[in-house]
Amino acid sequence: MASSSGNDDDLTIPRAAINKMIKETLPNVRVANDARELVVNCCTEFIHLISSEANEICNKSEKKTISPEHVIQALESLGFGSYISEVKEVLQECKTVALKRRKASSRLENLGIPEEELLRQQQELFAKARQQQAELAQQEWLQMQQAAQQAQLAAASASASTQAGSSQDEEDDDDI
Amino acid sequence: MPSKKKKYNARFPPARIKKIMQTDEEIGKVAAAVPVIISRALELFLESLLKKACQVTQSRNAKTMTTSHLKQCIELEQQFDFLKDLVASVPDMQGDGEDNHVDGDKGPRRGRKPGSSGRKNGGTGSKGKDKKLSGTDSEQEDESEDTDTDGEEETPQLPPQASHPPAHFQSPPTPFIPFTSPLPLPPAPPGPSAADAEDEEDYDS
Repeated sequence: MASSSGNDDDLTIPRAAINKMIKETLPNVRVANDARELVVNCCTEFIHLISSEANEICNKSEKKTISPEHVIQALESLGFGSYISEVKEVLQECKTVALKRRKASSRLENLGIPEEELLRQQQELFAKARQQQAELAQQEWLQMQQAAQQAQLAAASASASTQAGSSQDEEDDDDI
Repeated sequence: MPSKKKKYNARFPPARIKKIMQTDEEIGKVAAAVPVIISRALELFLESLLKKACQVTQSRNAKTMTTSHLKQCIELEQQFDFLKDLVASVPDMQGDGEDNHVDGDKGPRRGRKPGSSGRKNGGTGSKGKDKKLSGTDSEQEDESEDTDTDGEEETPQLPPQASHPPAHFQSPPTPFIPFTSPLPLPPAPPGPSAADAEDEEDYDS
């Protein structure tokens, strides 16, 4: 059985993460490149080991989904019990984060304006714009009316002055 | 552990870990938190493996950790028995007088559990592990928001057209003539003005 198969990039832990881990754990030690590759394969083996054990525990409990509890039991039975306390801390953080996400999403629904309100405001703005346009048209109409009135007044006054001139001529004729 | 980092952000990508898990066809649905806690367990495992391998490197007075140091570390620690098959082909260190105690049985992929060998009898898992990807989905919560879009459209009535203002009203004539000489409307008919003039004539006579 080829135990070192599955070296596809998608099926191993990223090399950058391994290098970072080595740098943080052994800051003053040089590690050969093939040793780094071997560490990557050790990670894959570890994941398969824990997964298979957790899967068997899951099957015995007649469940269909591998749960964190199954993983913790797998660590215990495989001799990695010293990891369990820190693993449980991470599990608690996962639950806390999930809970906060739910609260945050509901909070966003409350704080944010719902879509119906947004549509209503949009239509109100459209209505105001139409009303303003109508008012502007009405004002223009009124201004034209006033201009027409002034024009008529001017024409009337011109005609009146012409008639006054005619009447003066007639008076002169009567005196003679 | 001396370096305890409580960052929630997992060091190793959980999606990748889940994909590696499900290369085993027997692995079905996995809860969302499982890859995250396996990532943490993997950190602790690597920390232990690297530190113990480093002890082997230092005990050999070497400056660079090699695969041979990893192999010896794996052989010495019972916790790492499951890795013996993986490192079986790694050459032993030069000048090492110790005998090779690698277990020649390569049938089972994983090493025996420490202190117990009844797992094989109890488990119902077959050893045929294919590398094909499993198509099952994780049982993750779907947080899609169900938004009801009610298209209530309010079309306000346009204001009624302004009625024609009242007709011409009487006012004293103003001598001032506006600048807008071209008239948009036709000039008023001279009829009423003539009638006014005749009235004045009646007063005079």
